[in-house]
Amino acid sequence: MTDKMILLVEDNRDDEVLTLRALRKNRITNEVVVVRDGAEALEYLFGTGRYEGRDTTVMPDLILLDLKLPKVDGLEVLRRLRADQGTRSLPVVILTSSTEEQDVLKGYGLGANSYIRKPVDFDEFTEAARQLGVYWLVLNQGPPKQRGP
Amino acid sequence: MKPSTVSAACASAAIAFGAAALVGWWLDIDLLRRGAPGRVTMNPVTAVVLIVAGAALLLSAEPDRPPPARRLAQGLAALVVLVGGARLGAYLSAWNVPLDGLLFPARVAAVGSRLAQLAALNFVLTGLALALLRLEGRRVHAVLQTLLLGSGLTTLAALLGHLYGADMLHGPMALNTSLAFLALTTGALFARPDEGLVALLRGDTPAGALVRRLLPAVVLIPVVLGWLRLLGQKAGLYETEGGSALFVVTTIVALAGLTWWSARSIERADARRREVEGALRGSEGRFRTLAASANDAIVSADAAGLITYFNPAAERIFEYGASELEGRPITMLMPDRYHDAHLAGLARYLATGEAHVIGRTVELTGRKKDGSEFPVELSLASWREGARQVFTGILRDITDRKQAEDTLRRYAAQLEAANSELDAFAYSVSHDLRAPLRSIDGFSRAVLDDCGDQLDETGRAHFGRIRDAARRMAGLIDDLLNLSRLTRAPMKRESVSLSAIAAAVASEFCRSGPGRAAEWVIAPGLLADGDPRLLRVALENLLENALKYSRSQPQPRIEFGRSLANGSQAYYVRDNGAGFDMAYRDKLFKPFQRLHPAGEFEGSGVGLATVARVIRRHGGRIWAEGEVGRGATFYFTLAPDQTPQP
Repeated sequence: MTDKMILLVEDNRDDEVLTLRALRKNRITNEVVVVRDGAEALEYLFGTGRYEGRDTTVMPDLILLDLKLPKVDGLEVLRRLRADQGTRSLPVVILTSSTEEQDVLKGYGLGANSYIRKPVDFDEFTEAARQLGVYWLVLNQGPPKQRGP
Repeated sequence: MKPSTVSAACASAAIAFGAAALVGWWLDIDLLRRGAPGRVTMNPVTAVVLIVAGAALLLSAEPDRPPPARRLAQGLAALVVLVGGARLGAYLSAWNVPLDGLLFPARVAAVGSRLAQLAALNFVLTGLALALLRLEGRRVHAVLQTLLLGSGLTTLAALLGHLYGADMLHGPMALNTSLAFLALTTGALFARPDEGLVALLRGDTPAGALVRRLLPAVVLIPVVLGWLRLLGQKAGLYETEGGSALFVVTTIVALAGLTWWSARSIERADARRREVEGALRGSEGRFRTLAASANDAIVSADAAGLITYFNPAAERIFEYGASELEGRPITMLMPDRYHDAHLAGLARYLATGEAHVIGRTVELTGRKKDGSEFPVELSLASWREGARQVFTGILRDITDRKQAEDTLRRYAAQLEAANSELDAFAYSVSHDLRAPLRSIDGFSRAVLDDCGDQLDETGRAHFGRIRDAARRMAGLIDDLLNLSRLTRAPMKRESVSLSAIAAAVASEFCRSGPGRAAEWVIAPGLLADGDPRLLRVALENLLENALKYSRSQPQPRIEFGRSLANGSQAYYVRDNGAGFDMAYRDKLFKPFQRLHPAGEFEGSGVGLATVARVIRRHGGRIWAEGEVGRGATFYFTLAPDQTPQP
């Protein structure tokens, strides 16, 4: 579980701190890369822009994706990920405030692996983070690592 | 019977008379020559010419014979005229043409048979008529009728002579000859059934009926009376003078009776006609009055597309003066760009009867006198008046309606925009209002976790209150969102069993615990028209409410049913719980209004507001009755109240 890496796409600094805190509380010590909008997330994943030259053979084992993001929104990020051979099979968990039926439907329609609403109650959030970690980083068998181009 | 058949039959009869007489001469059978015992003989030449005339008529009986047959008929007719003329000429000039003894001279001489002058005259008349029979023209018609009238009268005279035993004009025309001429004249008349006497006889008019009734009587009455008079005179009952007087009197009486009877029948027919005319005038008057007072334009046009009628509303709507529409093309009431389509449609309908607009109501564009256009609704009808095709359209100026429709469409668009704005707002609320709450709760927890030991009991309690408040607000936001979703979700209407829903909700409450202690009384078989999802939300809230406020009772009892309340059949949910003060009943259904302190009964105050919204969306009403400590009853209907019609 230690060598697996998480990409957290989150524009709200408070939520970022709380998410990291919830993960640490559950002793999930994996590396967490934080990007603060959809455009940065795409640049990171495809090794462009600010992340020019990044070794793209190294891909996150889990992406925690907020939907409401500046510049490029979460659903668009998801669409682009699923359209690319290199990122198509990355596990993506949508972690957001919205419970609008439309968002849930669109998220799954675009190939999200899971959809979780952030609870206001931090205790519930901590519990959610724990279950997330256990499921996606321990129980779940991820896709085989791809050789980079 | 077809007129041409009558004509052919008459021709055949004439031929038969002639042929019989010829056979009589040939075989020396006296009865055949004379036609009846004691009568004069038909001269064999007469017999031959009658056969020729009959053949000419037979050839002309059908109106459309080929030219050779017609020429042959005319040739035969000319022969008839020739023989008759020769005989007449001989009489007049005392030049003896040996016609009488031309055939069977010995037998003719023995009997003394002659071609009678009347027969010769008739040959000329009928021969000429037969020659003219298939020629057209007004003068031909007049000449033909005159010739046939002449031969008919001559024949009648001869027949009367036979009836009365008179010897007329140097030897009578034989009886069988007379009958043959009667046949020829009748046949010739029937060969042109559409003119003269035959047309009148056959006509489907009051005149035709009168002629059919009067003519036989007018011919027969004098004949019969004259014959009776003669019989009486011969029997010595009176002398010539007395006989004449008697004849004249009886004829006058008979004809006067006939005249009176005809007058009566004419009067009856006339009364009927006047009655029909009156009814027609009444109906016409009704139509005129209706059309004149109609608010819609009524415009009639003929097959040429010219206006034949218009009502005052048409002048008003199209803004034309009184004399500016009559006889003008109907196309002046429509914009130029529609003229071709209109004319093509009119031509198509007249040619094929295939109607696109007739019998339907369509929306079109009309044009006023000043050229301005406006929307009209047109209902078009078409019928025949005699030989004329009439088109009548009822046109309604629907400018106001169109405007109302536009306004309605604009409102609908505004509503749509408002709704989608609301959607965006709700989305934003669900997303953005919750994020700070997460921070408040999360960081309060962080403080408690990280520096809880530096706080005293009061400080920790304060952080607990902060966290409670944040969580409560999150709950409020969720309730508010649900309420707004209920309002926005599309609604359907179907038959829903409210009893089944109430029972399902109750059993759910029992499964999850709190409902187990209560007694549930649910009336079976209550059906309603509505949206099943929304109605379930409403009943859930009402029953949960009832359960919540009756929890503290030793024996909670919750009822769902229907009864007459406030003058309408209403569904109700009743509990025996805490109840409420009727003074505050107006506040019950407003969101976030609570009649009980939060510590006593939990809840955000959105539940009843949600119920009220569902009920309102169904067009129904909701109201409550209660008393503090004695329970509450919530009534609702799901359709607008049936107010009795005045």
